[in-house]
Amino acid sequence: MLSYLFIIGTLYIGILMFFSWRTKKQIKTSSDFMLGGAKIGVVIGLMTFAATLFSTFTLLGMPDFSRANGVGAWIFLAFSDAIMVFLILWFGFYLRKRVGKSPYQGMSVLLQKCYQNRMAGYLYFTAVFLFLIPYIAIQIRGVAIFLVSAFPDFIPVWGWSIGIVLIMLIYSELGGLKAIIYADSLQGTLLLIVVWIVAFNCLNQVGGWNALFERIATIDKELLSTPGPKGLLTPQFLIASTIAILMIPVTQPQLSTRLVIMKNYNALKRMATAVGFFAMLVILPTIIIGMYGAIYYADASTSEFLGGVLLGEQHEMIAAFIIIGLFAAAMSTSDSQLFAMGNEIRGLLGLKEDDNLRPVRLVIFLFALSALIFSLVSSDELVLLARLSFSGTALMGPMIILGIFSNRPNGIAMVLLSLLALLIFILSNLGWFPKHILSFKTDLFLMIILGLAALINYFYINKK
Amino acid sequence: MKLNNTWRLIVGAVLFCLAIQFSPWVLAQNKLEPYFLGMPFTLWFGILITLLLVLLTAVGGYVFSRLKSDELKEE
Repeated sequence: MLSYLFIIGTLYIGILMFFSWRTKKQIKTSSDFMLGGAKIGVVIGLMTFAATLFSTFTLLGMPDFSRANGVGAWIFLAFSDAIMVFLILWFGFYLRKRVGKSPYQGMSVLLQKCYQNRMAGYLYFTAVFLFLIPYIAIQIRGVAIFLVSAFPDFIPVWGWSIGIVLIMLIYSELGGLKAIIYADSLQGTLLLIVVWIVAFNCLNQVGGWNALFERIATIDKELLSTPGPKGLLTPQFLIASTIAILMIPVTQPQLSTRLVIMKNYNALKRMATAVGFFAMLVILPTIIIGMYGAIYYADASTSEFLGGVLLGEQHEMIAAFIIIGLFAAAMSTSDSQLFAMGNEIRGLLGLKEDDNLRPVRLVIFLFALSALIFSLVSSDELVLLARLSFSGTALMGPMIILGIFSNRPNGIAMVLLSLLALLIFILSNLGWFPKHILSFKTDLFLMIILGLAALINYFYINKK
Repeated sequence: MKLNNTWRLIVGAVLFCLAIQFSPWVLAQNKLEPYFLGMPFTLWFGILITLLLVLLTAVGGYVFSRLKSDELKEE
């Protein structure tokens, strides 16, 4: 496999170098570097949005999640993504209208303008920093543990992690956001092809589509419905997850940036529909792989299952493509997130078009370092860590939507409520606050309260 | 039908899909039947309703851009 890996890896790095060389020539201002020129068409928009959304956690986390929790994993992610793409139609329009023709300086600055209050921007940035760092960390960790199982006794997890972060930083440093977007397109295509090849192999092995579910029914019927064998996929868990995932393009800067830099609204609406289809096409095979895992790897650990199904059972060339695909997935998502946080800092520091980006580059480096450290201490439950990240940032959703929809400043009430909700959520996850409030899961309860507060605030302000 | 009403109808359909997916009828514990194309109920119904939502997004995008055509001309 090493020779295949060397050839495909060299090809992949060669393509990346070509992208960064090509885009570097086009960079004239800091906006070109941070926002990639802001004229993204449908196809590139689809690929960059999808590659940023579907990452290591999709290819590594989702098969393992459905192996443990069953077919309800479809509702957890695919159904939630379908609701999310519908929201993009509406939110994308108003976000772009709010940004107008001025250069986009990030959501933090936009919120400061909407609320005419600096704290709104700082609160948003704090939430994003706190909950995106774990998300970046799981990309790094996911690929690192996978590489360790692919090449045991070669390089330890921390060694792979440092290597991934270094390549990520060098690439984004050279070509800026445009280079990341091109790499996303490559990664999105690779992810889709690779995941279906593995799924078809699984179906062949088990004896076809019908046999897959018949075998599962004899092993554990609970995998074929909700809440699954562990009882995790309850209506409350699924509703809270849908809200958290629905809020991703609203609250996570790497995706809201992509809504703003689309060429026009027509491109954005087509991209939204295409992302919906892409989500279905990517998630279905992960469920197949998960069901296959429930049959043949029921008692195996996560790394044994993933190492077996994604590497051990595949042709060496496919296995090499999978390794490069996973590496690419981790790199594109993490790079996009680091860059988006860099853009937020650029806005908060008030840097202009021609200003030196050295402080932003330093901050991106510090973010990457924080993610690297977190990746070394985090657990292997990739999907649940990702969900924690989605839920944490989702708490900023009502404040953002209210800010973008209200024509007049909304006062500080919503900002303070969001701050309080963020504190409660953090304390709850640390075990210093109950996990349930009035029989609701704490994150769901907080989202309901914030949603109601935003509605009351909106109608109260409009009446005044 | 006016564009505004069509848009409201589409939003209503999306909310209806949400309500149906999370209803006790669909999320009933250990509900496997009826099977469709070899798939248990939870999966095929989930796929069907997800597909419906994506199609609603396609139609919704068309209607919404026409509804906001005046504002979009400024783009």
